[in-house]
Amino acid sequence: MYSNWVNIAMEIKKGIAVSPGISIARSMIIDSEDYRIPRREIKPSQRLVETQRIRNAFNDAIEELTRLGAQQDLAESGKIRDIFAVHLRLLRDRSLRKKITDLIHSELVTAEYAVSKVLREFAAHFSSVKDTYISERADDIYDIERRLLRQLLGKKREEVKGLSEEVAVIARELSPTQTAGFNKQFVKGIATDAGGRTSHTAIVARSLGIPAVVALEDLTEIVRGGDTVIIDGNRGIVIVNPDEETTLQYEKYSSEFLELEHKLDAIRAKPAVTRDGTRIAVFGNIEFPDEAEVVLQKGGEGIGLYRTEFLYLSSPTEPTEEQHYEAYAATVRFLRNRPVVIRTFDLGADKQTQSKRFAPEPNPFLGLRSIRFCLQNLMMFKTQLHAILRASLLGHVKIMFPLITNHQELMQAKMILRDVMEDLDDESIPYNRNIEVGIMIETPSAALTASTLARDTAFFSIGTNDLIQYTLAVDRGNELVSTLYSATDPAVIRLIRMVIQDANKAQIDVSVCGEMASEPDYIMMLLGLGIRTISITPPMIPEIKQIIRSVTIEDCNNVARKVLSMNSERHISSFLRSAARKILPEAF
Amino acid sequence: MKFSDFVCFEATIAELQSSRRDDVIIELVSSLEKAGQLKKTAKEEIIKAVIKRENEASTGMGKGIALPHVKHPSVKDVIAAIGKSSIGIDFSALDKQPVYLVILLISPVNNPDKHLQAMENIFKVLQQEKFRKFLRQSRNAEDIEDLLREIDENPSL
Repeated sequence: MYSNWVNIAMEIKKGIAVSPGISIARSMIIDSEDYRIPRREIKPSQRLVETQRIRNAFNDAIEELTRLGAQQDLAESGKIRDIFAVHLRLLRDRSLRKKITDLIHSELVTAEYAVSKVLREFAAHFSSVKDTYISERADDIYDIERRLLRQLLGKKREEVKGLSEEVAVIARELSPTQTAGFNKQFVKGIATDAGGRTSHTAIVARSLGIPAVVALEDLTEIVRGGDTVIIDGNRGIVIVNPDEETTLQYEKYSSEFLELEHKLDAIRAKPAVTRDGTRIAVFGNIEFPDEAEVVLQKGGEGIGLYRTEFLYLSSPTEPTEEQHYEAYAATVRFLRNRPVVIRTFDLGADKQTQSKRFAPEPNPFLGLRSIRFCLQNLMMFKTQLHAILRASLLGHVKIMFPLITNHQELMQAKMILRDVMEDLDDESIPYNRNIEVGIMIETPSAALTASTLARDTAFFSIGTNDLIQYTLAVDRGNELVSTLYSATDPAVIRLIRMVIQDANKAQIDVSVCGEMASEPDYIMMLLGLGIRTISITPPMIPEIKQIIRSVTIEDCNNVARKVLSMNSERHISSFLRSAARKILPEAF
Repeated sequence: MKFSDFVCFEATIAELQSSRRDDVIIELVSSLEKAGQLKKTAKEEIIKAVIKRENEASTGMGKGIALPHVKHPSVKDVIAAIGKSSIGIDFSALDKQPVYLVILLISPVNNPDKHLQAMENIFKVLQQEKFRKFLRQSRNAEDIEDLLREIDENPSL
């Protein structure tokens, strides 16, 4: 079936595995418009294939332009129609097309490369002309180049929504908004040049259960739209144009992996109890309402973190209160009386809203984000709180405020919550007056003042991703420094211990909801530090449960004690790894 | 929303007489009534409601500021009075520190959004240390009015 492609060499790329699973699918490259197209050679036998691709690309581009041109209103957009007409003339120009196909034949290069090379030369020629009118035409040429490349490299982002066949999405980088719009039924794998383990793309991929590998550096320069790609989200490997043997191997591996998952699923009904009888509550983190099902399927006891940003990120308009309510009500009803911790909007930084485009900030992660943004946009905040409160009678709902950095923010947020409760009273809408209100501890300042914050909050949930980022001053998505991002840095571990101690003193609940809790290596240490509740990405629940069921609290206490005496991140992580392997060799 | 849209400058008390929370609330509500912003008949009821609400949960939000507020059917629009104390008031604030600045807010029952707009405005400026400092340094009601009008024109001072 791959007859046209058998001559193409297989390429293996190593990146960071961020979402487990294996996918074998045709690639679709998205958002590739501003690419530098690298020169890639083809075998002589492939010349006809590439020429045909050129023909198709031109025809599709002409069709697209004609359609767009017809949509323009005559009176108002005569200019745009004129521009389209110029583009169409160029696209229909036989000599231009011939130049491109000649290049394919004479230099044995790919269609993309030939298009890019010929059109850029053409554009450069235009720009060098002194006449402004002519030199400005260079932009038109670039536009045509982009249009053709779009046809060659795959479809545009919008079309990801209307997919009708299985694909592996390949991109330089994906925004959370893009990932949120993915249909799991058709997007079988994700691979990106940029990103890190805890980038939001990774989190979304994981929660949707789509295998993903990131930080592949130049993958997009190797893959062409339509290539067969294997994405190994367990080992962080991407194989482009696999040979028959590799494909067979992976098909086998893939079914074995599913089997293992199946085996782990068998423990889903068993409680997460350590061998010496300590009960650990294991919850799931979710992004979308329909993931609630996965949490229960995998044996989670509730939702420990319901991220609500999807309401903003996956819809083209500002969500109405009814949309909020429906999203919360559906999840809460589904969970019956199991806890659902709804986190209020954590927008800003890398997650933006529609109407509230944030003014660009020099340091978005240190800027107006999360609870800060909510406190300065009280109408939006109120809409959410109003909807959460309305849903609070349907089950066991808790509210959680993110990114609290000081007591004042907590009090302001609670003050607004109370105001909204009074509004509900006035509207005679029932709600749970005693709803538990907790906060995320994800900044060093919150961790250091946990004893004060504990006085006015019902629970803490330690968000390790941000806590690590802010403690170590490392942007987790920046490949240049991402190796400095480490959950086992002594500074991070000491802060976590402090939060747990202060919570215990104040007798409030404390849990970990960051990625750290879904790392098999770290579980023993967290239990040893005193954590009894965790909330993790749903696919990891069975594995983590199995680890919990294999350890004793005494073992964990020893591990934690040892870790607290260590001063180097490297020693700690290798110690934790070997401790975990001793307990449960088969999980690794 | 601007401060001048909801603050009644005639009701400003640059030096509160009392250092006790309930008495301060009475002072500010009375001042609003004297300025013609509240119906005489509603005064007692409002005082009671504000105090009751404070007893349930303090609105002292730290940094020497308290934001007592209540909804009442007798007002048509959000109305606020500002009071300053140099000796400090015990508002059972969260940080246990005395309160030096009290912003009393009375809001209509049927327009909760207006109330939130006023709160949003207060939250925004009270975050600025400069603003808190200037406000505490102002000597009389005119100084306070000047400062708030300046903030309205230039929200980041």
